[in-house]
Amino acid sequence: MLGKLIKHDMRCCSKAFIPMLVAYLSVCLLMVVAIRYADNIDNMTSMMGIMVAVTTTAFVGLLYALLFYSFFGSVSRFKKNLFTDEGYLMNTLPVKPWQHITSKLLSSFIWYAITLAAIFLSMAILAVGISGLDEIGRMVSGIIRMMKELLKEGVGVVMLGLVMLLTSGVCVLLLLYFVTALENVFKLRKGVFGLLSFIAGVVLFWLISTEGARFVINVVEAFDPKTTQGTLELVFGCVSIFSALFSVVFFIGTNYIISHKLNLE
Amino acid sequence: MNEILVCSDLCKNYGQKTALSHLELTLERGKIIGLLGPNGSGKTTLIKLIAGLLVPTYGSLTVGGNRIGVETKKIVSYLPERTYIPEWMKVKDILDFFEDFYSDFSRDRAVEMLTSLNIAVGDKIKTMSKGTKEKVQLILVMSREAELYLLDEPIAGVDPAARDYILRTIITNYNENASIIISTHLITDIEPVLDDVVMIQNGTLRIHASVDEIREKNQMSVDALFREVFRC
Repeated sequence: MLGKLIKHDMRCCSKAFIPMLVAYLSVCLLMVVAIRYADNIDNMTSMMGIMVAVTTTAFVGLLYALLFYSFFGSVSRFKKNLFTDEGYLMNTLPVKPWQHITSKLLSSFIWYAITLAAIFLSMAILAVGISGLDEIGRMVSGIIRMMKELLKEGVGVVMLGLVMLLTSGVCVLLLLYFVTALENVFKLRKGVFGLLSFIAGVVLFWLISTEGARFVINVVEAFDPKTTQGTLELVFGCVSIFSALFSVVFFIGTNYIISHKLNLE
Repeated sequence: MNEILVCSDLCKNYGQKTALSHLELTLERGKIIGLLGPNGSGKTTLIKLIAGLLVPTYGSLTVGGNRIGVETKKIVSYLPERTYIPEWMKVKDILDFFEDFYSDFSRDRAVEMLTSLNIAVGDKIKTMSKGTKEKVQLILVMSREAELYLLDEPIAGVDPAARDYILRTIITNYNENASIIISTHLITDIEPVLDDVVMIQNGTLRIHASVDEIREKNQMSVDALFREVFRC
């Protein structure tokens, strides 16, 4: 059932994501064409100059929209899917609440990955389009060389950095799911409790961040690593553990609310 | 076991407000039951509790011997009073959805009913009228071989011809061993198809009897009895 839920979540998201991704990459191509063929980019009154300005603005706007939607769209889908009219369909399916949460989480991360891939692709298009294939070849070999160095010297740091990014992302998303679910519990007095839930979310986030930072500082002081690499490994490791622990707490909390406190008006 | 639904000391509160109060109710299989009561009597709350959209404040509720959960959702087919199909979907998408999640869903039956209403599988949900959306939902719900159908106000807000279609769809498509709970205010329309009647008021059971008993004992129709019991 989890696989089927993910499939339907992906289809649901694709309705907004795919047009945005297509628009983003199309504008990127247009921007490259405009830049390459602009007679004089400094002269913004020329047709191509205007074209460059327009496509660049659209490109940056779409990039922000994509990043914004890939994150907040996920939370909005969670709410719409489970706690509004669509909830009458989703919450009567023969699946467990944890499967709903997991499906939303996984489909969000799949779309994040696709968004990141699209951003890398657009950067590659820009680099090739503006600087040519020779330049991009030099850039790629430079990146490969840098990655090799990194992996040779500090594979632990790189891996822990990735784990930290992943666990922190999951933690923030689950916190927002938890706050959304909490808001539903008090739906009868929606305005007041909606605001209170939001404030609770902000306070929770602030508490977790400050307590987490304090915890990491204490650990670093206690172990006192002598190298930068050691310090980074310790910091990344602590943040990952801290985020993972809170992710579990938020997951259990959200699951509890949907299982025991569901209140679809 | 002949009971499909057993409510024991069932209570549901919304904050300070009591929607259902110590409800004791047992419904048998193979019956069409009218769930009747004035506005705010607790009909929709009871249906939502059975569907698993609300959690009881107190008491117990079982469907087919199971507490509300995944197992009961497999055998309950629920038609809410509002439209729930996501707007981005086409009819084909929602058919795929039901086929994926309900093993008792018959796509052929659904397509047959849709075709009889001139609704194509390629039609978009967002371009449909409210009445058409409601008919699509009813077709989806009645295309399942469920053990218990919950229909919350299935004929409210539709024209008399559509009402006839909806009632015909319900009667001709339900599994004879299954039970149907229909909540409505339009008693005259559904009275001919009902076996039993459950009347609730202020969250408590007022009357639970068969339609024949009501007619025999009270010498009046269900509609007339309703008007007498709940006279303002």
